[in-house]
Amino acid sequence: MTARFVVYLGLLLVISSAGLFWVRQHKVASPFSVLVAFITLVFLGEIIAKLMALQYRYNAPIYHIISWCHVGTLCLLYSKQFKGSRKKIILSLSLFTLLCCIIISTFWNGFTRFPITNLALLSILGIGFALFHFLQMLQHPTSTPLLSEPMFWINTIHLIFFGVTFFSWPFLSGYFEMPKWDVYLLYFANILLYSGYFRAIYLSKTPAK
Amino acid sequence: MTGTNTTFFLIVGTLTFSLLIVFIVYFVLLYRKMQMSMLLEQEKMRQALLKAEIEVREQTLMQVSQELHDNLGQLTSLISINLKMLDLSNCERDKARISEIQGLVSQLTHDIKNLSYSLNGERVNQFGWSPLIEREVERMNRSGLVSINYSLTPSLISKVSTDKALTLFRIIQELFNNTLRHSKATICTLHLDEKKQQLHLQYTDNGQGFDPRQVSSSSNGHYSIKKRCHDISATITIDSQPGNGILVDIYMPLTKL
Repeated sequence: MTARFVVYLGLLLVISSAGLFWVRQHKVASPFSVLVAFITLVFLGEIIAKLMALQYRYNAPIYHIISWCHVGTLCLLYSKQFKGSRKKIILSLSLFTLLCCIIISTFWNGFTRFPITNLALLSILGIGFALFHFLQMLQHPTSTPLLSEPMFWINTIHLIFFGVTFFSWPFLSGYFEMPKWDVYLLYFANILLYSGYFRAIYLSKTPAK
Repeated sequence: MTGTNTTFFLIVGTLTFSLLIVFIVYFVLLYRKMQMSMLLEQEKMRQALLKAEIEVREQTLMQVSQELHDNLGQLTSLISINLKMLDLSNCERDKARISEIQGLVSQLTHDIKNLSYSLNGERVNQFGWSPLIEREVERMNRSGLVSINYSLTPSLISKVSTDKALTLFRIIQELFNNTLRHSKATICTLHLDEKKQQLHLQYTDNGQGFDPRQVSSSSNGHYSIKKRCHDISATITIDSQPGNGILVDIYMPLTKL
């Protein structure tokens, strides 16, 4: 187990524990409690994936499930930020992407290989939703300072994380040998994603009375 | 994988991320601009609402004033005339009592007229705000209950808009009322001068004072004064201690509403 992986797991443990603690105290707004559930699932998933790698020499099925859950999380998170026809667009796109991911995992990619196509689809969905929400923020600004807006952090982090993931696709797909810098880039993008989620969960917390 | 491919991906990735950073910075700037314009719009709406609220309030007071003048004032005058017309030659016993009633009715008529006058905000437009305050000070001094020492910097007179002047006049009336009702003061001072583009109103009395912690912020007189100050974007500080009277400082901007 590398030091990088330990730091990554430690970060997930801290974020999920703090998030679950706030959720139990009913302090976290409902769209952001979905993020807490997702981070907890990723934490458990990473541990199971490590154990599977040690035991069976492969762990790709876990990442397939995590990618489906990430689509679901984006769907629940963003659908609560929109109303009317925009909400319907979010729900339909999410459902379509989820179905595509399940079909690709089952019939094309296979559960024994890393879900690279799912990640590409997820990246397109994440970037699209972030831009769509930025547009809504511009159309309906609020008096809250931008840096105190949880959704600003989520959108920014999504643009960065999914941008990195999308441009790593040629390397992840195995067409090219993965350079070391891309491994580090993906690692830091993951750290940034969960830190950004943590910031958003923290900001969405209702202040203590 | 060849070195050319790595360089290609590195260049495309760097360019994309540079664009991404530019996009986020542009979004932040654009959002702040939209936010500012929204806040400005909200402020304009708030000012319009406040103006409408003040207008409605003044209209109500004017109606009350007219009612006092046209109805109650006339009725008391009629009672007074009727009392004077009474033949008291055969009624020596009630003469003194009726004379006392005549005095009271005359006082009542006078008070109603005064009240009607002070409630009518239109007078600010007719005569200007400083004569109205002077008249209010005279009314208080005439009551014999309290002596008011009043001063006004003359250059201020033209610098206060009619809307603000009316609210300022109501604040002064409320201060006088509070003094009469609660403070048991005998001497008050009211000074209006200009400080750093602001009107500075200082009001003191030598009354029994109060403990500010024990006076609820929603207590009627104080609430009314604070609300009116808020309406004209003025800041207010009220300082008082039991046995030490009261010191009120109000600062109202003169240049903008």
